[in-house]
This record gives sequence, C-alpha cells and structure tokens, in this order.
Amino acid sequence: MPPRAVPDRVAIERGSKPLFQRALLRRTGVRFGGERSSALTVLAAPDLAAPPVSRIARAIRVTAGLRGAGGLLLILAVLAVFAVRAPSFLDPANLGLILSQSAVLGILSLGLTLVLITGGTDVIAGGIDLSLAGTLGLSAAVFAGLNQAGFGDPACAAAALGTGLAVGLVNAGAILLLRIPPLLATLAVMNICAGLELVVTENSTIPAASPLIDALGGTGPLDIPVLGYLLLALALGLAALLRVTPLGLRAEAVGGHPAAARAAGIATGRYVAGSYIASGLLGGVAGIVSVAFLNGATGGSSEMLLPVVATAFLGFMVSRRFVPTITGTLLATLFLGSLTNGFQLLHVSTYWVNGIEGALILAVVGAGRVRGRAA
Amino acid sequence: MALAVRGLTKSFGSTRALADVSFDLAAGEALALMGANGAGKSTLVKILCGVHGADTGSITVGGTAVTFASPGQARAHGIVAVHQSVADIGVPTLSVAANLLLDSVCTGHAPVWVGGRGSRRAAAAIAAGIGLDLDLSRTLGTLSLAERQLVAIARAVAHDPAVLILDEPTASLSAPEAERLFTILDRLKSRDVALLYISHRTGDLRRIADRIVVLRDGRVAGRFGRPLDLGAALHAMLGRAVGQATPHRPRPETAPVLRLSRTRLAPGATPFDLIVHAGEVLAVTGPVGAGKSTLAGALFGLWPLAAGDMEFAGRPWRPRSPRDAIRNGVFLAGEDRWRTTFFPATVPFAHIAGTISFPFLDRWSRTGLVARAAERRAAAARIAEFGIRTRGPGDLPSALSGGNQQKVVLARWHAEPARLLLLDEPFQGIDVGARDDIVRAIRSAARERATIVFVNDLEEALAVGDRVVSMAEHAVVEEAADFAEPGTAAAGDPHPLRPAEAPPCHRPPRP
Amino acid sequence: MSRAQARPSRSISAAELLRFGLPAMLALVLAVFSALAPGFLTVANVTGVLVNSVALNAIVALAMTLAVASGGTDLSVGTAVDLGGLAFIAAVSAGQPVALAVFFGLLAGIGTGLFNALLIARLGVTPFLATLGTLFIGHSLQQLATDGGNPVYVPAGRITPALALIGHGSCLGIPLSLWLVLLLSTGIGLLLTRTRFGREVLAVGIQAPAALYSGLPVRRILALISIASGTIAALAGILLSAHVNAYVPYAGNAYLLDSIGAAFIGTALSRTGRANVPGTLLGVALFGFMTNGLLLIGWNFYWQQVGTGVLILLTLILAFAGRERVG
Repeated sequence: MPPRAVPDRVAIERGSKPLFQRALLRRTGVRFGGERSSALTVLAAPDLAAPPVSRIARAIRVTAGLRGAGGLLLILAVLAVFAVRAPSFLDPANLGLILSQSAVLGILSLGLTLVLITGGTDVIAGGIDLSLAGTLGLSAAVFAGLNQAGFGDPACAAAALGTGLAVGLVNAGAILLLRIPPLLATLAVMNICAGLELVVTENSTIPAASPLIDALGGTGPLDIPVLGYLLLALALGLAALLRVTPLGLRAEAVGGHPAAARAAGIATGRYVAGSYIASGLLGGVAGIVSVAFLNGATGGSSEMLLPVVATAFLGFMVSRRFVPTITGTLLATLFLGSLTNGFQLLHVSTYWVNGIEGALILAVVGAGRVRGRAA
Repeated sequence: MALAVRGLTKSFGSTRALADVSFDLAAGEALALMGANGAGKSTLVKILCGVHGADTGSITVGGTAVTFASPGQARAHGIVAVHQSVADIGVPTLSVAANLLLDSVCTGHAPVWVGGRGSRRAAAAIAAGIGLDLDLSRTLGTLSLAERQLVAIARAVAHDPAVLILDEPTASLSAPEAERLFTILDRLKSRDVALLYISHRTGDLRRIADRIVVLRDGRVAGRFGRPLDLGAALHAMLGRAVGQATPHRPRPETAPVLRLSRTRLAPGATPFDLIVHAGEVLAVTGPVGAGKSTLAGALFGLWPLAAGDMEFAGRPWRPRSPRDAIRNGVFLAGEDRWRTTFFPATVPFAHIAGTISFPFLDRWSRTGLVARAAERRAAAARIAEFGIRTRGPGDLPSALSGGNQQKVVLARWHAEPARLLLLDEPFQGIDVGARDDIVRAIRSAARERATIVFVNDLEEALAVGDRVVSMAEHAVVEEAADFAEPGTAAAGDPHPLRPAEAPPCHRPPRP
Repeated sequence: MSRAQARPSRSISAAELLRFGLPAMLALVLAVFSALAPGFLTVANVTGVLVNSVALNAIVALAMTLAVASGGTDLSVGTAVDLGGLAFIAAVSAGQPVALAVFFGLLAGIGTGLFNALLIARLGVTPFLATLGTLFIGHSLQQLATDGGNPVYVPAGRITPALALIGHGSCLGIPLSLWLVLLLSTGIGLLLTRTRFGREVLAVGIQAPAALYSGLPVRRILALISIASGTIAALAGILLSAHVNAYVPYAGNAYLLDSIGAAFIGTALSRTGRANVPGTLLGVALFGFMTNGLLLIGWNFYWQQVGTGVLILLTLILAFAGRERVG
C-alpha cells in the first residue's frame, strides 16, 4: 500500500539508485547522472554511454592499471626528460622560479579543490567555483588600490582577504540559502568581481610597493622565492588539516555521498558553505600573491578561470582513488609549471603548452572512466 | 523489556500506513517482522529510528517512554537500524576504514586528530566486533554487495545498540555469507542485544527468529511464538490466497524461443544452460546481486555475455544494443521504473501516452515528426486493456499509484507485439492487490510470446511463473520445472504458497 | 493544454508565474531603462542592440542550448567560433571564393564537433571535461597558427562584395545575422518540440538510462548534437570575422560564458526547467539590453559589467526563490 506515488518514487531514487548506477556503470560505462538529487538534476549532465570495452579504452586501462603511480610516473618521466635535455632545469634557482610562477594558479586551484571535495565532482549539479579568478583580480585590485592610496600593509591585506571572504559568503549564501546551482551562482558572481576589478583599476595597471610586497617577492632560504614557500606551506597545511582532523573525512563524505553523510549526522550545508568561504579566502590570498609577483594589479585575471578548473581536475590523476585531493592539485600545479618552464628551456614553443594540457585532461579523465568501470 | 511499542498509528495524507501497531521486544531476543510490500514495515522502521514521527502511540525503550525527533536521538537511545538499501549507508569513495569510523568522526565529540595508527586500530576494532575480515584500506565502492552489507552491520554494531533493526539483511547475501551473518547475530543475541529482523524468507526466519509479528495493511495480522508456524505466518502476511487468481498451467509443448548454452555471465562464473519456450512464463529468482539483472541485460543487449552462446527464435542471438533487441521483438521492462522507463515531468512527453509510445516512435511515424494522435489512441487502448486507473493518456505517471505505474510500464511493452518479454522486478513497490492484477496481465498475454520475470522474492516467483529457476553467483543453479503440476494450485487449495507443502528444492539453494 | 489540466490547480498558478519569469524580467528591464534613458526604446537603439550584441550571442547560445538539451555543456563553442573564423579568413586571404571559404569555416566547426563527439560518445568522457580539453587544445592550435595570437587581416584587395555581403548584408532591411538567428531558432525550436529527434535528445539529456532502455541510439544522438553545436558556433565565427574582415584569436571565448549564462538562465527560468529556444533567446536579449541600458544611463564600461552581474544574480534569486515556494 504505497501511500502515494511520489513517496514511492523518492524511496526508490534514494534507495536503489546508487547501486543501480554502480552496476550499470561497471557494465556499460553509462553513468546515471550525479548522485545528488538537487533542484538542478534536470540540468545535470548524464555523462554518457561509452562502449563496453573499446580498444582505446583497453589501452588506457593499461595505463590506469598503474593506479595513482601512473600519474606520478608520467610527471617524473617528463621532468626527467627536461632534466636531461636542459641541465639548468634542476638548478635550485630554476625550481624556485617554477614554484613562484605557479603560486597564483596553485593557490586558486587549492580553493577549487576544496569546493570539489565537499561539493562532489559532478560539474553541473556538484560543486564548482567559477568566481575564483574574479576574486583574485578583485582582491589584487583592492590591495594595490589601497596601497596607492597610502594605506599600510595590514589594512591592505585585511581588505584583500576581506574581499575574498565576502565573495565566498555571497557564493555560499546564493548556493545554500537561495538554492541557486553553483555553476550559475558563481558565474554571476564572477561577472560582478570582474566588473568591480575594472571599476577599481579603471582597466590600467596599479603598481604597488610595500614591505609586505617586498618580503613576499623576495627570496627565502635555499634561494627559493618566498612565494614558493607560501604555496607549499598553504598546500601542505591544508593537506595536513584534511588528513589528520575529522574535517577531511567529513568533507569527503559530504562530497562523496551527501545522503550517507547526513545519515551519519553531518550538517552537510555547513561543510558546503565552508568550502565556498575557504575558496573565497584563498582567492583573496592569491590576489595578494599576484600583486607581490607582478608588483601591482595588472588585470587580465579572468584568463585564469579555465586553467584553474583544468589544474584541479588534473589533480585527480595523482590520487589513488581518483578523487580531488590537495596533494594531487599541488602536484598538478607544479607539473604544469614545470611544463611551461621546461619548454622555455628547451626552446619549444610554449604555444604547445595549452594543447598538451588539454590532451592531459582528456587522458586523465578517460583513464578515470575506465578505472571507474573496472572498479 | 528492551522495546515496547503501543498503538502506533501513522497516516500519509489520506492513506493510513500504520494502524494501532503494538509489540514487545525483549533483550537477547530476535523478533521477526513480516509483511508484504506496502504492509507498513518500512514506515514502522522509520518511526522506530526517528526518521518519521508517529501520529499517535508510544515507544518505550528500556522502560522509559521516548519520542525521537531525529535518527541521532534514536541512536542515542540505543536503537540502530541497518537499512535495506546498502548503498545509502556508506560513502563509496571512501575506504572501508573511513566508513567504519564515519559515525564517530561525525559526532560532536570526535577526536581533534584522526588518521594514523590510532584510527586504523579503531577501525580494526569495529571490524573485529562482528568478525569482519576485509582489507580495510579498500575503497567501499569496490566491495561486493554482501561485503558492503557486512560493513554496514559493523557500523551499526559499533554503536553498541540495545535494539538492532535489520531490514532484509540477507537480500543480497549468498548462503555462506548469510550463515556468517547469522553467526554474528547469534553472538549479538548472547550479548543481550534485541533484534528486530525484517524478512519473510522462511530459511532466515527458521534460523534466527524467536517470535514473529506479521503486518498487513498497516495492522498486526498475527503473532506467532515458538514453535514457529511459518505457513500460518505466510498466510497471515498475504491475507488471502493470492495464488488462486493465477492457476499455474502445465508447461506448453512448444518450440524453444530462447536457448542459452554454456553461458557465463561473469568471467569465472559457473556456465549454465537455459531454455525458454514460447507461451511460457519463466520466473528467475535469487538474491540481489545473484546476476538476474545481468542476465536480463545480456538478453536485451545492454552488455555482452562473458562467454557462451545465445540462440533466439532459431538464430544466434548477439544483440548489439537495446535498440537492436527491441527491433527484434525482445523487450525489457527494467528494474526501478523511475530510472529505466519514466521521464521526469519536465519533458513534454512524460505523460502516459508519451511513455508508452517512446520506444516505438519510429515505427509509428515515418516523417520524423511525432504522431501525437496515434500516440494518444494507442495509449487510450492500453489504458483500457490494462485497467489503469487514470483520467487519460495525458496524466503523468507520478500522479498514479505504484500499481498503476507498473501497469503503465507493462502497457508500454505490450504496445507492440513482443517475441521475448523480460520483466525485471515488476512487483517493486506495489501492494498485494495490484500484484494480482499485474500477474494476471503478464499471464493473459503470455501465450503469444516467451516471458521471463526476474524477481528477488520466491513467493512472487511462484505466483507468476509456470516454471521457477534460481540463480546464485551469476549462474542459474537450479531448475524447478515440475513444480507447477496441474492441480497443485488450481484445485482450490487456498494456500498454495504454504512452504511446508512446497518441495524443498524450490527455496533458494543453500549449497 | 491538456497536460496542464492534469496538474493540481495550485501548481498551475505557481508554474505559470515561473513561466513568465524571464519575459517579465525582460519587460521590467526594458521599462526601467526606457524610463531612465530616453534614447533606449528607439528603433535605432533596439536594432543596434539586436545586431551588435544579440545576434552573434544568440547563435552561439543556440549551439549551447542544443548541448544543454542533450544533458551536457559545450565549453568549446568559443573554440568552434574561433576555428571557424580562422579557417574562413585563411581561405579568403588565400584568394579562395567566399562560398568555398564558408565551407571551410563550417568544416572547422564540424571538426571541432567531431572531436568532442569522439570523446563524449566514443570514450564516455563527461561533456564538460571533454569540451574543456578541446578548449585548451583549440587555444594551442590558434597560438601555433597565428604565432602566438596575432590577428589575421584580410588583405584589402581580397575584400570582395561577397565577403561584404556576409559581413554587412541585409535583406528586407534586416541584417543577415538576424535572419540567421531567426532561421536557426525556428529550426532548433521546432526540432526540440515537434520532432522525434528532439524528443530523443531531451530524453537522453534528462534521463539517459531510460533513453537507453527504450532503445535509443544514445551515443549517436550525442555525437550528432556535438557536431551540430560545433557547426552552428562556427557559423557565428564566420559572420564575426566577415563583419570585421579579420580573424582575432580567442575572440570566440568572449561568447562562452554569455552563452552558458543565457542557455542555463533560459533553462532555469522556464516553467519546466528544461533547455528551450525561447528561454535562451530571452536570456541573450536580457543580457544585451541590460548592458546597453546601463551604458545609456551613463554607467561606464566598468560599472556595466558589475551591473550586469548583479542583475543576473537578482534574476536567479527571483527565479529560485519562486521555485522554492512552489516546492
């Protein structure tokens, strides 16, 4: 006696769907939408039918068979080629350069990684923060603008971080309180940030100079730039936070299977909100870092958007379970940084870098799908 | 008394799901709760573990009257449930160890530091609590259904419950795995844990139950103590002689439509043969995960066989896709109708007419446009034929009852003549009365084709099939061809399903 | 409508409200700006907005609408715009006839679509990530082809009347690009609502397993949609480069976020929550008129972008707040 049709349906969707998804995914490669039933499941991508086992897929499976090691091996192989062909590649100064060049992208990607861990990796129904690049530009502009106006470092830094925090709060509110899908909410917020950045900078470069900028732009122990240390410290700090405190496990549970997380007593909304706020804050940090790296706010931050998305997804390659991880994102960042740097040293046109990045994303995702099917 | 329930009543809208349900459960006792689909079992469980509130009635735990506002509160009072949908109680992307620790990590008083040797030891201790022997670093998503079920039970037992509710825990287990579970349950009983065991598998009940309470239509329809009279309990559960409506026929002497030889559904599975005749209804039964849906999918072209040959209507049968299968008259009504048949109301063809016509649009219209008039005519005819209670072809399936939804699914696959009709769990989420209708509908058109019905539940298999075969571990392991002798059911026996009368070989095999 | 009869009456009113969300929003924007800026609601201004901002955006957004209807997102529409423009301008500059150049441009779009189709339908990569990869590869291709992003101008001698016709031609006083929008939106609109193929596309987009179990060639449908999306976007690229007699690298990416915004706002604000052509067109128009209106009331370029972002956010808030109340 099912009381009404609708509860019956809900029970089935909540109940048997994931099993069903898994079973079919395993056998056919047909993935049945995301695991979360949000208001936007109607918009959700059913990412679709792959052939049961195609020849290409089998070839990828061999690579994927190396598990997480495969990604690391690939990175090491590329680095080895660079090291052999261009001996200066391994110079501490060069490695430091790679680190500092990667700092902005890396910090932003860490923010997106937090959102992906907690929101789930279904791009449309899950978590995504498209506003990160806008936050970077805006907070850089705020920092440089206040610096020009004669404010001291504490005020500038606080304003830049406050900008990031505010963006994160707006995102979290729009997504959780107003139930706007993350993709749309952060898209709108990105536009607002980019506009405000233009308002502040009036589309020109604002130079900045201050003790903080000098300190960040300087070189630390072992000839490695301070920005490099900052990136490593942030990444390792976050990784440790997620690894050794319950936060990481809870966040992964929220992203992996929200219903199960709720059943275990997690206030899932709080974690999702937290991830967007943290992501906004990291956007603010990246703003300060970019001012330090470029000695001012230079605009053009919106070009960072897609590289950030690509880096975060590339990070899956390094994780054994093929999920977003902080260390994976850090390695992906450094790998992409080395790629650009190595190409420059080898006098290969950097025009290839984007293409290789794209091909890598596809290889990684393809391998992941095959591995998901084999699991 | 570990748990005392008095006069529980719960309504959803105008439908009464539970009416005046009372029972007691003592510490160290296993009480079996039986009931057909929709009898109110899951509502009762949800009230007991704090998901729903009751309209009236009381729950007493260990002598104190309680009301639960959330599952957490129920858990705090020592009531822990392992739900039927195993998938819902773990995070598939996390490791087994992380899943075992999930509850402790998610409470407010979790340790500030996790990870490292301490957590591994804590997880190992939880696993050891039920004698779970698994590599705890494996990802939950890679485990078998049975292993996930055991992980879920380990998690529940880690709460140190006074009352443990198990909702059909053996549905996905093979016989040795089920025995492993019963050993664990015996140990829990000896530790004075009260078990509320929901199942109507006679083998399970005989093995574990001390007493039985039967629910029917939301009311207690019978109470049985030791020695257990399972036949009477089954009768109380079903209420009336369901089988009477569907007299079993002798197997018709017709040509085989489908012939499987040396078939393997998975690499390493036992190969098996299977023949299905024209005009016959074959019921394939077995636990969840035994390979029923895999077999159905292989016949329907969703995935290939691991090995072996299929022959359909005298020719080799290797469907490349469901499209291929449908063109050749092999239809599958998939398990979980909301995923495999119906579309959400946001598309304009989600109504009954659109649902029925969807697989046949290219046959019904040559122009590339949708033949809306033909579609409505066909739908109206099927609605009349199957007695679907609705206002018309424009109604949305979500507005119908479960039974009528299932009739729409059946109607869809009767809109064009089938040569082989595959029905995966056609009785899912419908009540006993609707089940009779569906059985009648399946059987009345069965003469023109071969029909295979895949059901988890043996009673349902017996009710619908001319012949019942069992599957376990991805192979058909036992054929019960001679069960439906003429007269067994049609001779007016009011309780054809009484297990005492059924030959023992018809129960799912326990090798 | 017979379907509406089947619904309980309470949800009709709520649903109808939602249905008018986007037109109402557009009307509001038009009303407010015509009150604030006298020059706003004039034929010249409206035509200007339609031709200069709406037309190309609409074509790309229609390509996106197809992708969204099939359940995906095409991040490579901008790439198809660019590659279409590049192939077209390269052929024109090499002295090929304009018709042949158009063919080459479309071929570039088909190629982009085919590459996506291979990834999505053959390898089973999520559309979002597949097209993200294509986007990056396309970026590289353009850098390689233009030595790091230098615009390619059509030599003055090669600017033929045929090229001018594509870039600036009009018929019955309506520019060619608007005719194309009209043609494409009618075609795609009818395809999605009236034809069997449209039904199949929506079915794949909204409930892929049910489509598969109903015997649809799911992969073929996805492949066709990818190719169609790439081709339509390339068409926009041809129009764009013919209009400016040049190919500007990465210019197409400017259309990407607007087209996502328009297609998804059209989807989110429709009564049913599914991708639809009128919704997309209204979304594009909303963006276009908002920007133009802010310009006319004297906001500078920088504040326009802020204003547009805020207005989009407000639209979304209104839409989803309404949806919550409907339950």
